[in-house]
Amino acid sequence: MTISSRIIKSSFRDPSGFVFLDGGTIYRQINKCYREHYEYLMGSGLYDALTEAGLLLNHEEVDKLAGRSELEYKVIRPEQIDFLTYPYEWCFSQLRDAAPTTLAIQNIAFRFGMTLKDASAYNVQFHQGKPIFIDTLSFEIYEEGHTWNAYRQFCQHFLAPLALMSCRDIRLSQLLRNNIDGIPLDLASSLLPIRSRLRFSLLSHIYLHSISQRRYADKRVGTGRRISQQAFLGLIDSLESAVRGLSYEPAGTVWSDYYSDTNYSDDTLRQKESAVADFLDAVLPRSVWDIGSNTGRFSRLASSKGIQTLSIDSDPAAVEKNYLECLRIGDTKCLPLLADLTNPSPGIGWRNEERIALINRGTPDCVMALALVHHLVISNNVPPGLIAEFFAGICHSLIIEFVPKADSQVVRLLRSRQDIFEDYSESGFADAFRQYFTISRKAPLSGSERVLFLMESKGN
Amino acid sequence: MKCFFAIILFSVLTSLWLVQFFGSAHTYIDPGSGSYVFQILIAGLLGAVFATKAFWKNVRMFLATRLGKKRSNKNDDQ
Repeated sequence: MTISSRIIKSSFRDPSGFVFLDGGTIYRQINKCYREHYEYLMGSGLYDALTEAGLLLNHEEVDKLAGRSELEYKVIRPEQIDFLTYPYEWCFSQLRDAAPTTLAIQNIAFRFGMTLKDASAYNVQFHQGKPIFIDTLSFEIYEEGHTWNAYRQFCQHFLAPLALMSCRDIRLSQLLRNNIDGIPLDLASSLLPIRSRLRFSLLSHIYLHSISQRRYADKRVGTGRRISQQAFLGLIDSLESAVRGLSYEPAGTVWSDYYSDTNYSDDTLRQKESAVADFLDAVLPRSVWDIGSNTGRFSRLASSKGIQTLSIDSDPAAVEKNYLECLRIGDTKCLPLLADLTNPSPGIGWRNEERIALINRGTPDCVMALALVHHLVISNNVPPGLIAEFFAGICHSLIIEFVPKADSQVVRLLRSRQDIFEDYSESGFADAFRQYFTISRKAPLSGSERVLFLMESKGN
Repeated sequence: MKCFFAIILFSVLTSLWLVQFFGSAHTYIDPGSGSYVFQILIAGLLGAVFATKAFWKNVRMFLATRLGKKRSNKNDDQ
């Protein structure tokens, strides 16, 4: 394998270094041009202060050559992140927690005579339940009087999406998927309601900022102007207040109220929990993807056993509730994620490789697909055979629930459409999955006609 | 206070249209230029607000400490 094929495709923008993969471990090369800043970061005490506060990812320097010796100053091995996620896969509170993390790092860096040269939301990852900054090369020595170079990026990556989610529509976070460098401020300005201009922070950092961008887009601009340290701190403080002032109350969507709006009896729910827990004990997976996890009730069965759990749902309110619950109970093994299995995050950016497609970012030992199949089949016309093929491609063990036509949830789905699913039955479902899986256990849920299956892939 | 902010904002808006920055750097299309100019314009105001907040915070802390001491002295006397 050549060195260029091992370089992580998203790390080409910053000439200070690049990230590469070797033997399944992520490393970062630091180039000679960044030497002065790196030595200052490590020698000034800033690195220690940030890592002790849990704000910056730990790393160790290693004797490893990345193959670019003409550029290389050092190679570091950062603490490994379990699963990479991107801002368009975060719920409101995840993005809102990532924003002050970035600003807190900027404030601490400033005290040590450094500053962040960029404020990309992609520099933050969720690690052990908390947002953490992963880009060791984002720090540069502060020069007296300089403005904050990352101001525009912070507004586009954090403030604009948060304002849109809070003041207009929670689903607008998906604009980040189309705009890899954050939501353009003129677009945010045109989408935000007029009343948001009554907030000084949004009026200034989004509306007036966007006017200024338009005004100076093609003008000669000198870089000689300076701002005082107090003005610099005032800018960061104002951005902190702006983020803190935005809120979102998760309620009213179809799925966020699912468990209070379903025909499950408490007994059936308990029986389902018990069966899922038994299946997990039988499989003993190290990692689980709970797809269609809703508010994470069943994800917590896995995470409470110490299993790294990705809790995926397409409903922003449900993911928000899930994340807040994880914070409340201190669940560091469960990572809630906003994604739709019928349209999962694709590869985006340069050559579609800068940000990796969700299903290419890792494979779990076990997938849980509870109360999901009927939505894929009935609502999205996906044949059961294709669902089985997909799951067999990403996991070894599968815990899956079959929901029959007689179930009130399926009746509801079929109420407004023609029933073209003659083969949708338990036997048809099992036959489709037997092409790829061996059914090892089966647990009918009393009080309903639903059935839980534990399956093992034939391919692995 | 609101009037103060309104005057400042009016000044910033006017500045955005009137102020020209000339210098050594020349960029054909630079999406950061407007952000840089705006930051220069707004930072002074935000710095002043920050200083005022810090001042009042110190005053509150000073008063809280003094009042706390007085109360504890009173309790000690009793």
